[in-house]
Amino acid sequence: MSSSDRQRVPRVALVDDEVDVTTYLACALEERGYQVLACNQATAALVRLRAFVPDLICLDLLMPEELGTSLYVAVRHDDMLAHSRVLILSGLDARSELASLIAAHPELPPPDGYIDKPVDLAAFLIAVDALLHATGEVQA
Amino acid sequence: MSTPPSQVARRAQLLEEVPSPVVVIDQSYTIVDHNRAFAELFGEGRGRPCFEVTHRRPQQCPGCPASETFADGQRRVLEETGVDRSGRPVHYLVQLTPLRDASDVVQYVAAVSTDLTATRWLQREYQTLFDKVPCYVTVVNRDLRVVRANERFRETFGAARGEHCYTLFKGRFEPCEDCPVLMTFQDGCGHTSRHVGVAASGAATHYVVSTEPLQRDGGQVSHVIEMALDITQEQRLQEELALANLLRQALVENTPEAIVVVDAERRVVLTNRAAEALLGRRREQLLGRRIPPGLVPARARGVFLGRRDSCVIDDVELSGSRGERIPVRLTGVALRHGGEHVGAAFIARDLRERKRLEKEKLEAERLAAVGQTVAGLAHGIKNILTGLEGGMYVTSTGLAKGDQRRVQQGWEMLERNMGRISSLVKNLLAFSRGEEPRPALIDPGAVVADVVGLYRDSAEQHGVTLEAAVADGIAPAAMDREGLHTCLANLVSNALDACLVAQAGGCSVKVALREEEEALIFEVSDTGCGMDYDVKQRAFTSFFSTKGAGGTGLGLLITRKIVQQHGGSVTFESTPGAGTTFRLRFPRSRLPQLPRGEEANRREGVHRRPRRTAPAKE
Repeated sequence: MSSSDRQRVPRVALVDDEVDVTTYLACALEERGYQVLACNQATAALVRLRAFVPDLICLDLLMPEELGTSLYVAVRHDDMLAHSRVLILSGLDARSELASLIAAHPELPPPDGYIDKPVDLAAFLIAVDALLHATGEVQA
Repeated sequence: MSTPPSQVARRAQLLEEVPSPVVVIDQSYTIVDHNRAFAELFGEGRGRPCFEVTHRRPQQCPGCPASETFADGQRRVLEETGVDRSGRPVHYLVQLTPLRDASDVVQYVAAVSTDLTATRWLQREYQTLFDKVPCYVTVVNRDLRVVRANERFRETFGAARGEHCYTLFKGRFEPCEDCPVLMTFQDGCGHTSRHVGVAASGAATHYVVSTEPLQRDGGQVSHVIEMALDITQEQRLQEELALANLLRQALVENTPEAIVVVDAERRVVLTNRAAEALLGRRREQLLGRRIPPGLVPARARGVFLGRRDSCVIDDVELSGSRGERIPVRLTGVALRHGGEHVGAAFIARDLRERKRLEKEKLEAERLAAVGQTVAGLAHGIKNILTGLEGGMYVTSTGLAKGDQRRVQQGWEMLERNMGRISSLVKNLLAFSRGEEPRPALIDPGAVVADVVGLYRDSAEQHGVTLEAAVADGIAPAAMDREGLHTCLANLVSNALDACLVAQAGGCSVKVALREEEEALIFEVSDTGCGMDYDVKQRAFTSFFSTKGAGGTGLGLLITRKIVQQHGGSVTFESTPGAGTTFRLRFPRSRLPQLPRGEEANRREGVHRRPRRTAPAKE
């Protein structure tokens, strides 16, 4: 990695149809100095993600009409988003949802982390920091 | 010494009038005289040879007895078979008497005949009767030895004259203890008793013996005739019948279903233990008496009167002995014999236990729903709390940095989540309000019309066709009008949302009402997005919503609660991408009871006629 890359501000995308959730988490992430993209429209999310190229995507898997799961599949199949980590923001139900999804798409990599909803802010920030640190986006 | 002429004439007349045939022949076997009875049997014969007249022979009969009497002058009596004037054989007993002249020479032989033809017939008939009569006939002497046995006996037990009857009948070596023959020898009277013998084939043979004394000589019985009627077949049928009866009785007595059978006069002829228990009446109180009217519901009368073959009534009430109502499933079968109505059988299954279990299940479901509700409630509140927490965080961050935009954002979050709390509380109140529905006689079709009217404008704005289809002649029903309105409004609102999500033009929502098997059926169908497996599974889970922040997740739960309070059920079918149909089914028999005053109105038939037009809003 180049030093310019190393100094780049990490980018985190939030995809959730609940505006309250994205507003809250975006505010907290910005406070920590991350560059944040909040998406409340799952249908438009993929185009915006490709433009933003986030290091981490925080995705609500259980959005209505399977938008969350289909977006997950699309993200994982997208070359431009190949280096993006994915943190699932959903309740316990999401784990079984993902298990059946991966069973249907064996090539699909599992998510990089889970955070249950309603989101506990402290736990969320620890998970985000850890994932970005692991990719080397955050210096120790 | 000559006979005076008057005496000769008298004798000739006497001969002529004797009822037996009399003929006189000379030494050349020529008939010299005969009487009228002879002529009637063999024809006119004077001057003709006797063998020609009585035997139709051209010459003298071989061994002619008359020739012997001519020779030795002895009287003879013998049986003869001749041929009568019509050519038929005739049996007779003939007595040959020699008639001598003064020098004691037999000049003539007189033959006096006694016709035996009828006797012979009787003998033959008797023999046939003896042999062929459908029972075993034996004649037994004082030593209990069989001196005669008929053909039927010989066929079954084997031919054996002179053997002991007990050996022949039973293969014994000594007389039977209850021997009816010995009793007849002792008292001279007939006796009858049942026995089991062994046929020559080795098979057990059941028979009934009747004995009669024979040949009373000076009060002594020399023989006994034994007539045994074979009842082996009857015995077997009786045993089979007894077994069939035993089986029937075991089945009827031990089946858990109450059975009552009546004859054509409607008198109870059969009942069982379950019927005694169900009806609270002992069988002595039922058997032989007219069936109590409370035990034959109106719908079973056709079978009862033999006008219908059978009926099955799923849920009907019978009257117990103390007037209590007993819910049963009743099966009726008309009984016919040779096309004639001979009675009816009723089989009733007690539904009290099932109803109790249903009630318990309902209660258990209700408790489970309460549990789910509490869990869901906690989750819902936690979500809102997170929203409030977020609002406070964003607001305070904004305030700390003097960022007005942040403050604005945070404030909006706080406001939005306060709104969610308000909406949640309102729905919770609706859910918990009114434990019991308040029923009144309402026109169900009018409620459908109201709900469709309520959503018509909103549907039109979104390009959705909304229509009502109410069947004709739906009678008023005892329901909570407001509750029914809430249910239908929830379903229509969901259907419209499903159409909006589908985002396809030409969607439609239909609200239908019809009556089937005494149940009101409401259907709300849409051609919207439909539900996938997961959504279907969670449709009735509290606080589950596919509408994001727009739904409280309580709509279907409230709907189901109201429907259940009316004794009804909610079902749905849904195909993703094709649409959903929700169905509310209310059996009339399970609808809530009307308050007393309303009940009186109902009995008087005030609201009986279905209203075709929607009534004014209540």
